[in-house]
Amino acid sequence: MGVASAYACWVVRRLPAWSVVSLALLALIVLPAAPAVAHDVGGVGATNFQTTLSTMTPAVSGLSLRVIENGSRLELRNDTATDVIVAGYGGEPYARVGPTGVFVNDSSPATYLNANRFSTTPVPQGVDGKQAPAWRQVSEEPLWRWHDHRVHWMLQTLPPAVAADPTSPHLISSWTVTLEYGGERLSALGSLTWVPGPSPWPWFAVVLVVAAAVAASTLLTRPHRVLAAATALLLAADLVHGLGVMLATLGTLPQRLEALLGAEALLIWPFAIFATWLLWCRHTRAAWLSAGLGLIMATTLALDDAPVWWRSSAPSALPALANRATVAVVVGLGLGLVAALPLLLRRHSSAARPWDAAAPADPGPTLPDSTAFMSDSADLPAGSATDRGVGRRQVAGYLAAGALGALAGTAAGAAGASPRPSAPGETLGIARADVGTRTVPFHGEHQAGIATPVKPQARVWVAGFDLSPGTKAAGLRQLLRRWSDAAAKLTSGQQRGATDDTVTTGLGPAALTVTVGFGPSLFGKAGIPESARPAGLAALPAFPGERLDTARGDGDLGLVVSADDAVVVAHAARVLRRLAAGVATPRWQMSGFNAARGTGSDTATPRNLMGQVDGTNNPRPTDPDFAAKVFVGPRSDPRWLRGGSYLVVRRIRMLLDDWDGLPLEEQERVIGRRKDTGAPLSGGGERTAADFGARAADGSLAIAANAHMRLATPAFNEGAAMLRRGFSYVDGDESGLLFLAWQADPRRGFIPVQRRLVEADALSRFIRHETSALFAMPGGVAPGGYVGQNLVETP
Amino acid sequence: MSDVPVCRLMSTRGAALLVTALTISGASGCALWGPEGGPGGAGLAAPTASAEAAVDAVLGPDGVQRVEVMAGDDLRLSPSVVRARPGVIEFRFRNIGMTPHDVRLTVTGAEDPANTAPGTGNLNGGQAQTVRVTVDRAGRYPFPCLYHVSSGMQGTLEVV
Ligand code: HEM
Ligand SMILES: [Cu+2]
Repeated sequence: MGVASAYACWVVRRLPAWSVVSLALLALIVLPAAPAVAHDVGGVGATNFQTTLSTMTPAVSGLSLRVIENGSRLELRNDTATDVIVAGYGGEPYARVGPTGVFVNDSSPATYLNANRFSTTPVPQGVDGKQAPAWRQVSEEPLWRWHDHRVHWMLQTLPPAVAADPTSPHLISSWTVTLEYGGERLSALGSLTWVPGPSPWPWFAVVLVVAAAVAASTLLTRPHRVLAAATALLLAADLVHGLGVMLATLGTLPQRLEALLGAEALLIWPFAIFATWLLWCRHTRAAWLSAGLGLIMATTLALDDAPVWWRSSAPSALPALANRATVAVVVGLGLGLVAALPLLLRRHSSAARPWDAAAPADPGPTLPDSTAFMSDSADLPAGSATDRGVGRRQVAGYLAAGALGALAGTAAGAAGASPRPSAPGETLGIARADVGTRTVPFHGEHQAGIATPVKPQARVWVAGFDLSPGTKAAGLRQLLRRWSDAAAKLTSGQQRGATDDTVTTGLGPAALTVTVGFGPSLFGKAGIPESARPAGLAALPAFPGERLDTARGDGDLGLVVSADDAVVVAHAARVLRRLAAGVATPRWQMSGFNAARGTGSDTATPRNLMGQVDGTNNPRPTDPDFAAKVFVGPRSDPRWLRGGSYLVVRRIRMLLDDWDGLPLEEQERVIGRRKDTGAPLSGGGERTAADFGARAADGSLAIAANAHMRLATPAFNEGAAMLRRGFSYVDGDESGLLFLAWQADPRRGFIPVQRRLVEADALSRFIRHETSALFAMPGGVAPGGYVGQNLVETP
Repeated sequence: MSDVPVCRLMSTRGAALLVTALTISGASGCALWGPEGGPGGAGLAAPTASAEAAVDAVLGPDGVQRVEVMAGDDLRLSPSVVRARPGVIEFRFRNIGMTPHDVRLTVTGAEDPANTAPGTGNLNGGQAQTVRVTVDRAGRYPFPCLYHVSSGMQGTLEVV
């Protein structure tokens, strides 16, 4: 404190006592009436909704698009000499950004809709985007920011999937924004996801500890300067928090300053500086002011910004942790200053009284003696400290006990809020019954075993069959009928009335599924014309560098049998093989496994034998476009394949000795994800959408150019997607992945992706594709019908 | 946004703690922290109304099947599933809220960069618009609102 503050202290000492009290009262009365400016940016505060831009293709240098303000707006900067036009909702030109500035099209509804976050501006009559553009200049700079409603959630209610399970991440929608640049079409692809936030309980604990520490400081002989420091720190933390918001606000300087100062900051901060001075000068009465400020700042910040503790992202330029900490410090210090007030006043107003005497709760009226009130604790009569010695220790004890109790309560709350780890015995008991009795219906719109059960079972048997020479159409029909009837019985746990029923006596169906399909080579046999072969069912092309064992690939018929138990799978496989006798013989058979149910968490993504979390970015049944990616559409041809799916089977050997010799960081770079959590190397958790543009500290791409996930992801394969339901296999020293991928069309699924992987994938060094097969798996079976009926019964 | 989110309180201890704190401060949990709710899921907004039962288009004497579909500020279409037989189907889209919408019928199934799909065009609050389509193949044809499809504003025409 310099000369100026010494002077201020001197002045204040001479201020009449009432003036300090009235200032404090003024602060308390006036300030809460000031409108609290919510700390949001562009209309959004802390949120779990996350908008990610995956890619803009083709990329144009000098042209950059990014998501700003937590997904509230998009920002386009065009430093090239050519205009770029952003398409509106109906594809019409909406905004033109170029060297002469920004123009918006007054004939595009988007010009009106994009004015605010909730598209509530009505569109003038007659404007529908079909008229010739009416350009109006809105900026001289080649930079435009707009509320694009394709990229964020617009409702005050939650997507059903999110509401049903808010603690899991969800893909809500995939979005595309189209731009036109010099006659070329650019597509910006991204996703809108729900990313659950962390647990807030540690921050509640921080608040309590900080508050308790400030309150406890009143037990010191000279607490005033500690309280002054607390008030100053309160101000500093609020300022840092506000700066974070200001820096995240994009716009003109006045707009950004408004974000920093708002209405309340301008009124409050001077008082906070004043209170700090007064306390520094050891004016006990200034504790009123600091308590009032503490109350106001703690409550406004808690009301506005507490959600940053439990939401995954917040509008602030600070790192999430720092932002959460500033809020916790402000709330903790504020509450601490409030708690400190009565404690301080008691000590300083009841010097002559024993500490534990019943003092009036409101110390206000007991302060007529202005000298005692204004005086430093050092001025207190000697001996008073010893008088209060015992009491002070008691209070310290209470405080400590209180703080501990609060912490324990918080911890208990936290434990209650997080998934409850149940007693081991309990888990085992429930899981065992559940594993055996679970059934997956064989009949339905789609065959079972593709999207059901959602998590692949623990065991699989996959086989390719060849028709016996001379098999007639009737033979094939009978086989499909027998397989379907047997599958319906086995999967529902019914006896077949055969001597081998006892193999599974006492066992449940354990989520048994049987999925049947047709290979390219079937067409032209058993009365099925070559011409009936769907275009997607051409044999897979040879990929450069692969050496496949053809004896263990392909096949006229494909069969996938899967369940959570090896005996159940083995029995079903044998039953189906025997039923084929005389009509078809197995050409190849393979078995695979995943971790048994109950061994790990039921909701965790499985791991493969390389130790990676494998399956994270699979299409999920809750995604709006899941069916379009995985199942053949209801209007596609041929008819018999509607509701069906194409299965690619690849036995992929893992060269585990080479792989295990690689350091962990390199292993992670090969995939582009962490090995422990499965989180993308661009940051976040397992389900955080990958940011393929993110760079590491050294400027290199966080997800390397040759990372498996970058090359495989739909955004870089023109949307090509597939549902991978892989299983591990081990055969002596050989181990690897039985890669099973389901898709609506292999030409928009496995084939283009595998082409890219073969070219550049960093994983290629560690794997060898050994076998390959492709099957078209028809749509689901109605009770009484059989698989493929529409194919084999069509004249 | 006219509709007020409905609160849902989860029965975790944390929520109880929090609700106590909020009752003291005289605020209600839901309005306080918006649809995404408070800690531990307290005050989470209700889920968006999910698909309701399909409504059949009514066959008129002129052989046209007619149906009225409401578009509201909840960014949902009601009914969201319309069932009809192959033939001419006439939709009457009525915007019963304030928020503008633009509903398109993607009956061709193909991508539509030329923006030629039949639809309402911009439909401000209070306006209504009739759209006629001819569908001759059974199938499911989505009719999204161009403005709000990312937020799930989409209906389905089921031709059976
Ligand atoms: C032994 C061979 C393979 C291993 C160990 C492997 C492993 C992985 C891992 C760890 C991931 C990241 C987590 C995830 O999203 O699932 C992944 C993603 C993926 N892989 Fe593979 N993979 C293999 C072969 C293949 C093949 C042959 C294809 C297709 C041609 C493929 C397609 C994909 C796709 C589409 C993704 C998701 C990418 C994304 O959207 O993020 N993988 N793989
Ligand atoms: Cu709409």
